[in-house]
Amino acid sequence: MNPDLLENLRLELRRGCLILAVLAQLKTEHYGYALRKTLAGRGMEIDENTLYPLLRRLESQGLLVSQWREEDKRNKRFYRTSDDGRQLLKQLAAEWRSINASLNGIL
Amino acid sequence: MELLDRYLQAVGFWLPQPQKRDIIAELSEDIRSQIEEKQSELGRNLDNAELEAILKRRGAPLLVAESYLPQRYLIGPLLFPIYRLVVKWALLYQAVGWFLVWIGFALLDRTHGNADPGDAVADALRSFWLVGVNTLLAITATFALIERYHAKSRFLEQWNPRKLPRLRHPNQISRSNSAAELAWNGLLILWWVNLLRLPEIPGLRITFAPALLHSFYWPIPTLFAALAATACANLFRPWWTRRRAAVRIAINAFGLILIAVLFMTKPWFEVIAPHATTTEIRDMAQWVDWTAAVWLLVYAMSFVLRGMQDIRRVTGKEPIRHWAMRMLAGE
Repeated sequence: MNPDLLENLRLELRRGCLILAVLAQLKTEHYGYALRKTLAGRGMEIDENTLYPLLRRLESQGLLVSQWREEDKRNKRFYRTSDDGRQLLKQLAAEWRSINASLNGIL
Repeated sequence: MELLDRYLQAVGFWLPQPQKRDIIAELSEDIRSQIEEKQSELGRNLDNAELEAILKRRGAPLLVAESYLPQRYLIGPLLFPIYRLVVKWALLYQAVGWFLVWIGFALLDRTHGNADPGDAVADALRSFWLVGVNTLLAITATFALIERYHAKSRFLEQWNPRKLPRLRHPNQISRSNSAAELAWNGLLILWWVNLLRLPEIPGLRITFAPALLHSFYWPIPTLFAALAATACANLFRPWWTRRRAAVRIAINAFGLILIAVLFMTKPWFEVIAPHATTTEIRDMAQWVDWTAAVWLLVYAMSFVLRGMQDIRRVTGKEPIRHWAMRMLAGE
């Protein structure tokens, strides 16, 4: 089988899940690099060039809020899930569980 | 860290001004965090090669910047298939129209007869190229405007299932093509037997060479009549049958043989122009013959392609449905 095909489909499958993972993880405030490390530590590897544009998109949609703050003598942008983001996360998580249950039955 | 600053500057070049500072600050912070982590892992500062490796892994500046930019299309995936179809047909019709105009000029404009053939071909190709580029630009600009103002959403909402095109059967013959072919071959017969005269140009007469008339007076209209008869049958019974395809293979073969023999009996035309010099008359005669040769080659190509399609029909295979094949075979 073509390995590129597998990789493309894998990325497609993960794309929606990343939003869920980011919204859930940012219930606690993180800056970009720390968020990536935390997600990777929990088995959710995410490329920098995917994560940062995703964070900006979620923020522009009002699902995240961010703040520039100094930490360890460096300016860092801290993100956390907004109230709207938390509401949406609940609904998405329910959807995810439902899809997961259906897929488990099918698979 | 000069290398990092150069990298950030290169990424920033592609970013939109309002978000540029913010994105670059965050990107810089992220890469610096990576560098720091690596340094604490190694217990020393990174050398240039190690820094290069980090930047290389992050990606080319344009690629990194592109991930922050919204997806933008001049012509989006929804309109693109229509755009491609329109461009294809527009260029095709333009090529045919341009070719006919060029032939017309070659036949009627005496200055063409005196021009150097190399220059004439170069001029013709230049004009074809210019018209082609302008056509392409105009169509692209129109579609880009439609894409920009989202007119697509309106016309796609107004569709009616009843207006979907009828099912096309591979054995169905286009009635409009048959009618056009019948009319064209009818005109050619009338022209050949001198019942239809082309408008005359003062001081210039183009006639068939006596040798051509002597040897081909009957074979040529026979071919036209056979083609007209097939078109007539196709018009009233627009379905391919094996027998009809076999008949057309025979007509196409006859046409090809006729063209091959015609090429062995040049010149085909005589030019009479009392006010022209011998050299001018010879040049004009050459042009007329050359133009006729091009037409005959087009006919020969169409006979060959039709033959290929008809052989498939006779052997029970589906004819090739590619638009270029259908257009060139006149189907």
